[in-house]
Amino acid sequence: MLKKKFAHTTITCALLTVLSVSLILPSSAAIVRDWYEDDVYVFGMVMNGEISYTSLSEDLSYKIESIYESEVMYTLTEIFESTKEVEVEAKYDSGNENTLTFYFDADLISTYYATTFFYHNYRWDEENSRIILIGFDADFGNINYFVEPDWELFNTNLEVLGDRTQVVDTVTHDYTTDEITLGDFLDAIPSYKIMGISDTKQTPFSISNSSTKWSMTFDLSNYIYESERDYIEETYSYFPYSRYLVDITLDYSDGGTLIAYDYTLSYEVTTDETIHKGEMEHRIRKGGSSAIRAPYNFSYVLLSFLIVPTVILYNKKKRNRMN
Amino acid sequence: MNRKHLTKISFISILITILMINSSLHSTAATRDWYVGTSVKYALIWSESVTTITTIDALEGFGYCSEEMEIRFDIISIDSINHELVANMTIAGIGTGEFDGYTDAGVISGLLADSLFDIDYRWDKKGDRLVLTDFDMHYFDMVFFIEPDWEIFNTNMGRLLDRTQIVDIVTDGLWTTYEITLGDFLDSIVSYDIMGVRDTVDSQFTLSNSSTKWSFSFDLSNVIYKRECGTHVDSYFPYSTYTVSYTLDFTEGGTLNLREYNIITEVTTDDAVEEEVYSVIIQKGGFEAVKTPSNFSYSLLSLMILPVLLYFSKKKKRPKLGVIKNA
Repeated sequence: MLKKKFAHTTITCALLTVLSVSLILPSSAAIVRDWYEDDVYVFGMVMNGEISYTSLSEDLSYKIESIYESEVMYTLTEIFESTKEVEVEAKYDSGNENTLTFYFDADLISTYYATTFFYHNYRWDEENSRIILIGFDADFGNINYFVEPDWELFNTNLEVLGDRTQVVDTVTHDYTTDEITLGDFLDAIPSYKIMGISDTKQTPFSISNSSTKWSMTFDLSNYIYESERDYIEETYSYFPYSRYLVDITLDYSDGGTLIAYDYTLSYEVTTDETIHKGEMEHRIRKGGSSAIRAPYNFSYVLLSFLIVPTVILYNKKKRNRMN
Repeated sequence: MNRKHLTKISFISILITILMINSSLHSTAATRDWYVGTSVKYALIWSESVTTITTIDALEGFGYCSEEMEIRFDIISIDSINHELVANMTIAGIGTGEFDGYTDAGVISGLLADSLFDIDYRWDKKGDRLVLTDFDMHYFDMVFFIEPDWEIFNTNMGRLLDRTQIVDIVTDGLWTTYEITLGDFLDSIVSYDIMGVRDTVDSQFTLSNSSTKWSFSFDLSNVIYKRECGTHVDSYFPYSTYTVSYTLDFTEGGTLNLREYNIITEVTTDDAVEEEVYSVIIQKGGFEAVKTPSNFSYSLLSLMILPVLLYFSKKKKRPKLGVIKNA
């Protein structure tokens, strides 16, 4: 009964996928830019941060806060097809102006995004003879505002983000070297969500070749550790973060104009001496500050739709194997 | 009637002043209230916000930064001969380090008096005039404990209030040099408040030799200009708002109670409207003390300065602007 249901769901999803892929493919291949010479765009940016320390033994606390909201207006003055560069006149909220040149090459940009996205830092905890994660980030880095809408190539390059076999860090201890893969990392953390799908443990991902939106969330609470060095004893102490959440969303229009970028990081860790909390936020919105203040409706429907069949198929295979 | 009234007030005030100077002689003998083993917690709060909006495209920008920390000093040694102290300085999240402080009242007040005001005038070639382009106060130093020799401290601080002191010299690019005195500066600005006394235009100031609190505020709106460098000539835009205030308050025994600095500015240039608010507070007692309204009393300060002010007000009516021209 359950198997039948599974098969039914899989077939339905597969059919829908084929349908949607066939609907998307002809158009995606023919997608044209929606940004042209003389176009004017206003982008709003927010970079906020708050870090606090509260002493456990003393009646002392410390907080640093920063808010940075800005708007920039880009007027596209020239597009260089041979070098895949676009020249823009940038005008800032300070009144300053300058000329900038951006690459819009889909291959170059997506390769950059894919290679800079993950940062993992594992270390050998000598006291407890174990490998622990002491540093993690997931961020697209410098965001490009205009991209050649070759989404097939773009998504092929981004596929590496879902490659569970990729080695994210190596740790050497006691004459041995351990390689930690993305799969090891994903299976060890409390939860994650990739392209709107949560907790797809031990599952490979594929990204639709027509996707123009990418989203990932990682919950590393109680998995990642704060490292503190004792400079006199030359030893390290490790304290687990009770909260460590990273959330990233990148959204382009079909024609390759940046619509939204969101990055948030929230953490809390209690060490021997202090409670350390942090909140970071980086957002970019097409439309300026008003767009940043407006609620952002990121739709996962299409993304989920395209990724679900792979997930279900894999789950089914695994179950069969286990049976 | 008015004259009689003034003379009466002056006379009473002089009597009270003499009385207070007598009693304040004890203050020169004030003893420290900080010792080896003394533990004092301070709040240090620094914040800055900048808002901009471009005049043509209405592009908006906002930046805000703040740092709020509590610091505890535990004094571990005092060197009375060299006027130095050593304290453990503890900050949450950062840890404990050693703080070496200088405590000599004469040296500290001398440095403060020499560097408190920063006044900068320039020659505006386009407007063919002298313009004030910068006014700031030296608002931050790591002095928390001083030897309570208030007589020497106030003697040095008194230099600050010398109206004849030259605060800047500007040449117009030809043959003329302009020497601007503190009096010129004070008489040209919108208003000011020194030691609790407002708008004492063209008046001399004196400080009580027992004062442990000093307070200054200045309104330079539409008097000070923002300078924007040009290829051939610079452009100057008047600040529609430019207020600066500074307060320094020690206990009788020489422990810092409060150091506070605020500056609020707004200027419209050809390109944008810019608003800036900057504030630094260092207050004894930590964050809790900052939340509690401060009971800073000007009554004593006013009393000590009033007689001199009244005398001068009587003697002179204000002549306007005094730029001394040395051809």
